[in-house]
Amino acid sequence: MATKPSSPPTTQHLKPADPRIVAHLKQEIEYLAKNNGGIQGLNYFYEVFKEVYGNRVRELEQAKRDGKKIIGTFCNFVPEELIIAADAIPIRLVCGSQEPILPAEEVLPRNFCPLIKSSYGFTLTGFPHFDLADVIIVPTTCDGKKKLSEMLSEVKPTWVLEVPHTTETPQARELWLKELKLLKKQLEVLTGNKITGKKLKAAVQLLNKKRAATRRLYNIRSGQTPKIWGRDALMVTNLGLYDDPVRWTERVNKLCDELEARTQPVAPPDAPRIMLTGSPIVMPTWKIPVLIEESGGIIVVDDVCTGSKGLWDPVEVSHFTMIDMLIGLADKYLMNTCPCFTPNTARMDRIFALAQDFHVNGALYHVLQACHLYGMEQLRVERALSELDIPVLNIETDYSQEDVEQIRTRVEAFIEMIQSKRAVKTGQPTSRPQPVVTKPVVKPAAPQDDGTPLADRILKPPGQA
Amino acid sequence: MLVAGVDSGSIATKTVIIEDNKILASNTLDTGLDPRRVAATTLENALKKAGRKYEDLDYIVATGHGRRAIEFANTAKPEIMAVAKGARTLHKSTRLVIEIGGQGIRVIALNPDGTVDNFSTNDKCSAGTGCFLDAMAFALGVELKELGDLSGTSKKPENVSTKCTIFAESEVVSLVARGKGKEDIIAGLHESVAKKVASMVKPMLQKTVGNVNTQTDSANGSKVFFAGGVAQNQGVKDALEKVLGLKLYTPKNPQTVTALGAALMAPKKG
Repeated sequence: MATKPSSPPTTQHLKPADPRIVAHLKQEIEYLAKNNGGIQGLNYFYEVFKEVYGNRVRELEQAKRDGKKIIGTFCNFVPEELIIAADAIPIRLVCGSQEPILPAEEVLPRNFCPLIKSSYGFTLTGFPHFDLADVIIVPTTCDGKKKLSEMLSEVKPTWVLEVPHTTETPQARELWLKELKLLKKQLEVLTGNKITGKKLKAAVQLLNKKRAATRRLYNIRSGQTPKIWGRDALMVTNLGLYDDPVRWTERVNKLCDELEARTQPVAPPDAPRIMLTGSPIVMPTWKIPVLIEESGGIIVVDDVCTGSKGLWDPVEVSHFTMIDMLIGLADKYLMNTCPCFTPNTARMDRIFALAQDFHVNGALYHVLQACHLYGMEQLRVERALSELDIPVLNIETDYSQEDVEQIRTRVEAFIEMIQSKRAVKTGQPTSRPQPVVTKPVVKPAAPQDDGTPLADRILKPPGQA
Repeated sequence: MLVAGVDSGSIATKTVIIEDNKILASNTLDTGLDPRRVAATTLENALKKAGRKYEDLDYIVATGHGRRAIEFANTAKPEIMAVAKGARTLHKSTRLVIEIGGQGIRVIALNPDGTVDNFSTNDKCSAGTGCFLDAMAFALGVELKELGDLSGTSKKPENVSTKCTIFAESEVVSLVARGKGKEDIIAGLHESVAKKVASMVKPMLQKTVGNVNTQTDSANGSKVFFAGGVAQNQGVKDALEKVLGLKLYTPKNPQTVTALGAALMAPKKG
């Protein structure tokens, strides 16, 4: 790990986030809130997400005034336990908005990952979480992040966390453990707080509770009755990257209490069960989860960084000695089934197991444009799932909205394909009621044929469509 | 039962009227800037041809890019399923459908029973689609409809190396500047389209059509159905057959297969 030289942090007046990003975020959240099936427990997450660049920033500002350090992180590989044990606050710096891409493209190559472009562009136009951060930690999990760390180091102290390329050799595990030990030391120097065994144990237990709550939510989704939309569940886990972990865990458990007691499904029980996998899906670009569920599917499980990936495996420690905990942390973070590892059979095994446990009917493989690691693994995932006879729909996209309708066509066809396959397999048509025509339905009653063009009689005036 | 299938494509809008699964009439117009009105107009024209009234229709199924904007339809179906249905109905032995439209390329693998097994489509890129050929025809100063016949007269197709619409246009301009014949450039463009499409078709061939060498040599016995507006271009069809090494079946009116399939997807009268 190397500390890059940088200008001293300034206590500048905080620039608010681009109002277009905030507006887009609110619009997506309001869509979710309107169509969530009346689940009360989700309201907390909607409210906090809408204020992620508002009230959440003020909370962080207050913490900073109280003497806490803010640590901006990229990606699931940063062991937040160490940050919390040093009495600092981790906050994820990642942006899913199209808006900052234009300013980023003035500097970065155009044919490049939208997540990196968006996150970097956000720092140029005023990214409150970034501006508040005392230090940024960037793991070397892809080429985009590696070079991003160099760009960010020009304005912020940036620590590069070296993640090995493989998880299987002893030297790779040794390197990773050394990186964590070094990170611990650096955090102690930065915060002036010693990371004691007691504090680290508390942090490990705290984040394990967060993971347990996540598992509980997923467990509910593995049942036959769809009790929560996948787009809502993914929003909950996405918020987990920005929210206070204690509060978030408490609210997820409350949500689970409500869902466990609930009998009313949000979707028809025979809706095709979809697994979402591939590149990260980050608010406010929510088109993929929304399109799947608007097309008649339901996302029951995922293998994406903003979903289950970082929250799936707990840190396993048998004796809470410092070295035991550090080894436990190192092991846990190498369990991230990230395509930055080669070989990455763990991801295939994980996806194979999830597909069975969650009774998945089809998978959507999402690739962000120019995300080579996820793009290259598409074929292997397809092969793994073909053993279970689970079809995969590959979608390559970015943060823009221009391809929404094209993707919708493919997703709708995919869902229909799954339904018709199931009908063939079981010899039964899907139990969803098929419209039966007895007389002309829905067709708007056309006024009398007075010789005017048909269009004038059957089309609503533009704007009322 | 009288049903209309309305296919609102990115470039052309097609309506087919069927009665008890038999085609009565069809109509095709440019989609232009008002897809809703054009859709209604094709419906009106097709109804006129069929000698029927709007009020007689039992059901209207919309499909295509603009399907969700067609408010007078009873239901909207994705064009991938519609074209599969249409192709299978027109040609029973179909196992693989290649459809090239104005902005989309769709390759659909069918199970022996006709249900969709798998499909792939192009992403945002317009390479190999109808609008690619449109742009090339414009760059060469010829009509889109002439492309097929012109390429048929080519003796030595030029090599067009790029698949991107924008870059291909500049490549075409430089070929023209080097004094190359239009027909040879067009034949080269058709080969470029065929190669792009073949890269999507090849992964699906083995499972659906099997070993292509054992294929019957007649188009009528082919398991591969070629549909969409671009299938009207004989040059593309020839080039695609050459690259894939098999014959393609093309119906009399390949452009309306999707609209027909949509109409056939209307629920049966109960």
